[in-house]
Amino acid sequence: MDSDADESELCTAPEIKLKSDAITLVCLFVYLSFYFSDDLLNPEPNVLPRKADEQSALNKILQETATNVIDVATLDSNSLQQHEYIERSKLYRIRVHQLCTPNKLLHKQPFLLQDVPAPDSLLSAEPISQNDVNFIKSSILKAAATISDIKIEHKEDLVVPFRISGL
Amino acid sequence: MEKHIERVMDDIISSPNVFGCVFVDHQGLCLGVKGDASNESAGIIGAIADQAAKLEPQSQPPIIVMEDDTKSCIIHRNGTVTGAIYKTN
Amino acid sequence: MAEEIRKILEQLLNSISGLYCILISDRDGVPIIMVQNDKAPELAMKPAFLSTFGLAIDRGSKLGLGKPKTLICSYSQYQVIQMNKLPLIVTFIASDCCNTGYILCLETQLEPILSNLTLVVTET
Repeated sequence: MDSDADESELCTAPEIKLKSDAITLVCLFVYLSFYFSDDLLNPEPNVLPRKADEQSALNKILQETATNVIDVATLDSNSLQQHEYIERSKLYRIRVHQLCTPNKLLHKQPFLLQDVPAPDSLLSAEPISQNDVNFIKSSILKAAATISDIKIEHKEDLVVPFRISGL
Repeated sequence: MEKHIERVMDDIISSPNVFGCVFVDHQGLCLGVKGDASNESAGIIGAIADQAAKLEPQSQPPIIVMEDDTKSCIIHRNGTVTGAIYKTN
Repeated sequence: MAEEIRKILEQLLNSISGLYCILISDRDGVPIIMVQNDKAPELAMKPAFLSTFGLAIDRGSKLGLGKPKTLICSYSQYQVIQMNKLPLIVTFIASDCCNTGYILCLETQLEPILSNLTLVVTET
């Protein structure tokens, strides 16, 4: 079985640009495990068309892994060139001026304060009953006390280290 | 964790005539909402309490009541927590 | 037209105390329209800062909770709230004690302006 040659080929063939060592390690782990499991399942690994399949399947897995990995290291990658930036902001300025005025933008929202027919009765009424005052005060006091008591319960670890033994 | 506040809110909306309540923190973010109320109103409620308190900065935080013919909304602040309770008249 | 949009944005800016800047840009951080007052920090309005949001929401969507809508960054003196309205990004810069929830409420009021400004970016 030419597993040695195969493995080296597998390890070098697909290239993904991931900067962090840890992430590359994860990818390596993914393909190695894929390779071994496949090898065990299929007694004849040297058939040619199947090999191409294997390669594309591998690439697919790699691609998926690469898209699923949250790679924070490349966060500062694509920045705009200075002249590109100036050109674009000029273009936008012209286009914003060309925009036609839509009617709904100028539509005023309905005015909340409207005249009431008999303001004297409304104004002379009790603003709020004593019951309501007590109720709101006690409710908010209770709520504020319980909210200040809120504590975070530790349930599971946020960071889970990968344990890759023997690598 | 938030079980206690859930219980307090359950108590509040089970009071007579009350149909909803919202609690807001000092940043205007929703701490909890129960009944017929929306967490999107959290920011506005915080802002109303802020503005009303500015009318008399030396006094205790005010109780603000907004009402129409059938419903009213009562807003009050205690420390960093602002609460709004909606009830039918 | 630009003036009308600016006027509406300025009204919103003045309606919230502690809000320093409303900035609408494309996903690379190139500003399309902005209103600000004198307290707005220069550095936070640079494309290099604004465009990190586009990358951050790409990464954030991989957490398995769907596409991110809003990003709130709290700093010691400022807070920056960015909204995902791709192809547009809306950025609010405010003081750290400003009412965050109220700023989030502006989203619905901005909707008609944004649908208009989308044309500016998508036209070829």
